Amino acid sequence: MFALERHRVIRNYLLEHKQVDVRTLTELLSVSEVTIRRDLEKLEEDHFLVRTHGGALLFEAIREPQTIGISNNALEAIDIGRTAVRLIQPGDTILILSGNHCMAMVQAIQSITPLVVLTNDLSIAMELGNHKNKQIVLLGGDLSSKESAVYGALTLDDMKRFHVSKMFVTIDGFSEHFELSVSSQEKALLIREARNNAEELIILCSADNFNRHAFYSFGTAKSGDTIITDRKISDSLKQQLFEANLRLFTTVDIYEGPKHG
Amino acid sequence: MDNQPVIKLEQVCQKISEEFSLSNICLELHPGKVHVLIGENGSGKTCLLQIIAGLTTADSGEIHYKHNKINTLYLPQEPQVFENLSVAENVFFSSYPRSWNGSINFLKISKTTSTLFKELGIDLEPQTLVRQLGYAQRQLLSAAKALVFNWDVVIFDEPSAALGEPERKILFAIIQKVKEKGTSVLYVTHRLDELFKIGDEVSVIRQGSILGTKSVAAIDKRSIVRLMTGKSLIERYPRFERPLGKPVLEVEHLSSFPILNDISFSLYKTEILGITGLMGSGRTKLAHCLFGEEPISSGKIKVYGKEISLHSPIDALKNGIALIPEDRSVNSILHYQNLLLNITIASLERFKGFTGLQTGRMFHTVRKYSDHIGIRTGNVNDYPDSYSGGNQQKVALARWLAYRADIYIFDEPSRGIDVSSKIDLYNAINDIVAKNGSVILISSDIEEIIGMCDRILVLTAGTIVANIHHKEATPERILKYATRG
Repeated sequence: MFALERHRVIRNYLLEHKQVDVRTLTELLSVSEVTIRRDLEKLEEDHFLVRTHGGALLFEAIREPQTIGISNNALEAIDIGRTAVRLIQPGDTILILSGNHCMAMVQAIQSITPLVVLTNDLSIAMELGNHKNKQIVLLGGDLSSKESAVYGALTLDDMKRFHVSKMFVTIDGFSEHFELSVSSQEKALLIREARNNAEELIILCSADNFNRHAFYSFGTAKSGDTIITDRKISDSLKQQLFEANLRLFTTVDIYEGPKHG
Repeated sequence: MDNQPVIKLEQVCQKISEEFSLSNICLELHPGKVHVLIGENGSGKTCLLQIIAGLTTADSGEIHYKHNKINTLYLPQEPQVFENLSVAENVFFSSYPRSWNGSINFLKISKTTSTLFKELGIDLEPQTLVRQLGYAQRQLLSAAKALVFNWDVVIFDEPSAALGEPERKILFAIIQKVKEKGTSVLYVTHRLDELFKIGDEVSVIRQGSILGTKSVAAIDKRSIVRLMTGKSLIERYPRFERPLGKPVLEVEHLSSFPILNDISFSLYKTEILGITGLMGSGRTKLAHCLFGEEPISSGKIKVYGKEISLHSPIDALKNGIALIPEDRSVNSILHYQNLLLNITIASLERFKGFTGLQTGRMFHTVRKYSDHIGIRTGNVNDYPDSYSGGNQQKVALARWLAYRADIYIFDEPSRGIDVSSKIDLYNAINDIVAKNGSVILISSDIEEIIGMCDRILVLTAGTIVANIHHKEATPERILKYATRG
């Protein structure tokens, strides 16, 4: 294997794991430790990593510890969004409310047509506007100062006019008693209103947000609701949700497709 | 005749495994009555019988006997016979009549057996060696033991599961006679029609507890079925609708000696096809036939429209069919091998390098599988022998996921595993069908079948008796077909 190819592998590994030890790399690349150390030296000169005793750390990981968290969460958000898309069928009428998981969803929705999408998020509407064979309905209302979405009395009023088969909501808190919460009041109000006009509630929630309360609650998870979360969710919680008759999807993404066709 | 129960169980509890236990069993057996115990597979019937027969001891609770000494005859599902003895010797084994000098009176046992068999219509010579008998004959001969001695209690554990109609008639005649002698009979079955033919009292057992005891005269079929299935929670299964593709697997008129008879069905791309049926209906046999493990006597199997012949599992795998078998600790796990090899063994081809196996990539792949389907602890150097049932099942699945099969056959995947592993398994199944794979899910858990599958085939005595779309499926309906009601 050429040096350049090895560097590429090491870079990718570090980007994913933030740190690496020399032994893992020798196994991964089937080369000697000396070679690995030389590669790491080269990459350190490029300010890509910092060598430590017996391994290396990603340069950014040292400089800005917070970014790790965010980028990891972003990866999970994408996984959750992709899993959520599996629940959409051609011909559905769906409501997508603003939220980071929902944005990730929209990117994977391209091939599902025809579809009617109702949303309060401008960027979701813009993104979907480029897709063919989709009808996009944007709710009206007051533009939020924090995100590119509309809320308020107008939005609530608008929402009353529509009926959807599935609604997708990103939530920030899922308590021990299955209480659902988000971090803004206007969002909580909108979800509560929309829930009356949707046949199925699909909750997108990071595993970190279980057993936590966000500030504004909008109701509890009821039997028949669907929850989509990442793989970090604990075993005991899986059991609790199952016993409460809640449908749980996790972001299992491992099958590589059939060999023959 | 006094009405005191011969055996009375009060609050009997026994832990069977981590996930399953018998709890608070109360049961009374009365003389001269046939008590039918009815319940699905895995509801704890056999365990309860063993406690009553005294083969195992309960963890807690009380068992009261009418006399100090109770003679109990326990006839397990697999007839226990001595192959090197004759029919007559087997029948009388626990109660040989003696001659004046204390030796066994062979003439007498032979004569009595002969008259008894004639009376019952069993066509057997008393002198035949049991080794030469078939399953049904052995079953009847075991049942005949109940008549040659004054038992207080006779326990039948699903004797009719593999019997034909004429043998069943004889069996019922035997039970009728036993009952007339004033013996108390405990009869286990999952066939409803039998309950109404022979039963006096019925108890329904589900998930280790008795839901109710009633007199047979006072009930109807529908209320029993409702008791058996209970309140169903179907919505909690992570189902998602998807358009089905072209047929991937077509089975035409498949028969396999001795059970399967004229099986035809198709499996479509991205479909989860459920197959359910009672024990002995040929579910597992069908899985084995499709995996090339057992030969088929006639019929065709087509994959992607092309007829294939399966002589061994290797042929099945070449055609993209993988089986995650029942009883993973025996059939799936490679003992004394680590997790790394257990997962990669079927797909070593993928890790071929110029100088041998690329262990680094293998490590990486195994870690990824452990993460995604939740194998705990998931260290590559673990020995899966020591894993829980759920984790072993996931290891078996990971092995075939890495192989990238087209058709996955799961045989009782969730039996005896913890709830969280079940959910991981369902999500892995979803991942397969979301990416153009196809799944056959064989299960006796009716809720699971309805909750996960797109279509459900019900197998009874080796033939498909129903093909139901999941939207029309209810536990009652499936159970009705499965019990031939």
